[in-house]
Amino acid sequence: MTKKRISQALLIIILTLGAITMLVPFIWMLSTALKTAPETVKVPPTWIPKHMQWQNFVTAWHAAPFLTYFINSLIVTTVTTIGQLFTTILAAFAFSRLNFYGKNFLFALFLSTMMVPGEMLIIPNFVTLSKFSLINTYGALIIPWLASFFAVFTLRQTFNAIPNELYYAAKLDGSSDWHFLWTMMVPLSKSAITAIGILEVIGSWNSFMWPLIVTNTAKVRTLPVGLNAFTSDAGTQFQLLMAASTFVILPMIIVYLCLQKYIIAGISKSGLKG
Amino acid sequence: MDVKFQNVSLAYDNVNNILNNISFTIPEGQLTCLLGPSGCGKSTTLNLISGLLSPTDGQIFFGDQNVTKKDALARKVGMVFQNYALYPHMTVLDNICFPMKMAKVKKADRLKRGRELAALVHVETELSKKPSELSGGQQQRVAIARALAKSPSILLLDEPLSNLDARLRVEMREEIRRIQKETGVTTVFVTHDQEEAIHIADQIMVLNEGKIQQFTTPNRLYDQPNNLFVAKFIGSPIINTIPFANVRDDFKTVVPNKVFSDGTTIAIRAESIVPATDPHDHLTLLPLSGTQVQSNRFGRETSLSLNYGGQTIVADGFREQDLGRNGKPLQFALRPQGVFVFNQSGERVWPETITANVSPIKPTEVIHA
Repeated sequence: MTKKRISQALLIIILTLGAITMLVPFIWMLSTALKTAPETVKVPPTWIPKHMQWQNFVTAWHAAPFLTYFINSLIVTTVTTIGQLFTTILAAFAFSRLNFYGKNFLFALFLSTMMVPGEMLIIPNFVTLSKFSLINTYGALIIPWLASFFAVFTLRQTFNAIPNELYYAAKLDGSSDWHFLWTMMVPLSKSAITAIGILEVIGSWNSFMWPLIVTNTAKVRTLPVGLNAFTSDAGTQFQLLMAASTFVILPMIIVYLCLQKYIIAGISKSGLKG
Repeated sequence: MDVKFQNVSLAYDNVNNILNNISFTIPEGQLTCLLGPSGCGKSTTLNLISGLLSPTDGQIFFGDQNVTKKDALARKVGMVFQNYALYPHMTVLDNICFPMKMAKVKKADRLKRGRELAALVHVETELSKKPSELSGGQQQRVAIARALAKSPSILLLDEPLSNLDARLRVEMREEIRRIQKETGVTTVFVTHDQEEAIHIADQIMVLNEGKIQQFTTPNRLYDQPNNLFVAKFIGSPIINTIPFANVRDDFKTVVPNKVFSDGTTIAIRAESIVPATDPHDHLTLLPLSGTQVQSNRFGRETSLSLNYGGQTIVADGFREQDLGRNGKPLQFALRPQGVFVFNQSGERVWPETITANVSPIKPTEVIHA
């Protein structure tokens, strides 16, 4: 009994330490967002600001066209996620249920693309998009992300777990492949699809490097790029940067908190981490 | 509608013959069992009927219509799968109505028919539940109702009872029989359980290694097995087999000379071995003698192990008072039925034809496993 209690206590301590480690950056962000400029660089650092600088949030919001950025982020994230889910569902179905010539080869080929680091793709993608005159448009922000093999792979695993008999039964009942996909496979894989969707929402919303490279006007820039406004040659205004960061990540935190059970279910089901 | 296979073969990669040139006719309006050990080709045969598989060779007819080239949907078959394959995210009623929805039956009509079918299979109180909330037996009933929903030309059941526990299996077996009789739909039932097949079927097709071993009524299968495989596959306890050479002198006066020389195996049903004092007809004039090895009583059954012809054979026609002592010689007799001689290639060579006046042993006497 006591042994059980000790191990229980140990478990809680470890989990608490883990949770604190994860939370520290967020707390630091919030704390910095409420400091004055000198206090942000004070040594030793303070955790709780002497005077809460709430107006930092207002100043940060007006420092750049954050409303435009916000709308751009919303458009890019929504379109990317919906588009990627659509291609993912179709591709996963093909790899999981259909028989076609070269299926295994194609699958291996796609799988091998997962080994190519994302940074390697920046230049070829940029060149391609510039040839299509898509630089500095929504297209540049959206098109390269409309397909993700990681998502296809994850969903295919989920689709594979659906028994073949269900497919045969539906076929005998008069359901086409297309109909079976949307009325059986998709509803049955709801949690995996939700997880893939959320991961893409988070990834797309937080994406910084790519939007920075392919945009050059405020008209199409997204929120993370907007955060650059607080960094200049003269240095960084940390308190404003952190205040802006807070409202940039706030929607994602809300999304995560609302849907975390799906994220976890989706990840643990596929046996892959995101 | 009757189902006719004409010289149907199925091979994977042109090497493995799953089915080898089989021809048969499944009669209309009856319940036919495909029976055999796993890998014998029975599920393959079912899938060929359903259209989920296409034959490499041969023709398949539903009635007069050649359906060889038609797909599963066009053949209008209803199928019940071993794991039921109910749509997990739909209610019971939606599951039953799904085939009619696909066939664009009007909503009011299909709901009405769905309720009728639910009543037929006794799940009318579960209509708004999801499949996961149902017991195995209820899921099975829903699967049958769904298969019947499109008024199928043929109802196919692929090992439908193997996921149920023993008691429920017997109950559902009777239910399937009742539903089949009530609807009169031509039904094909796949199983590896000979007892299940004997209880449910109008006729049984025994398959092994992609070939039809015998296709006849359950009783005839039991009383007149064509070959050693069928004799061993049907009946419980398994039929006793003894190398004929060891004991053939005992049967010299019973079998013709040709059988005497050609026979390689004699097979004897456990219930055909009776005490020497048994008042009924005996196969041999003189009692046979063996050695009692062991006897056990299980409720109403007595099981006796005998050493005869160098083999330990099982007899269940003895009563406790007929038994001797273990290790001592025991005299016994054989009934005229349930004794077969097979040749080298496993075909029955004796009795050549079994006349109808030999009173058939009812399969209900088969010991329930």
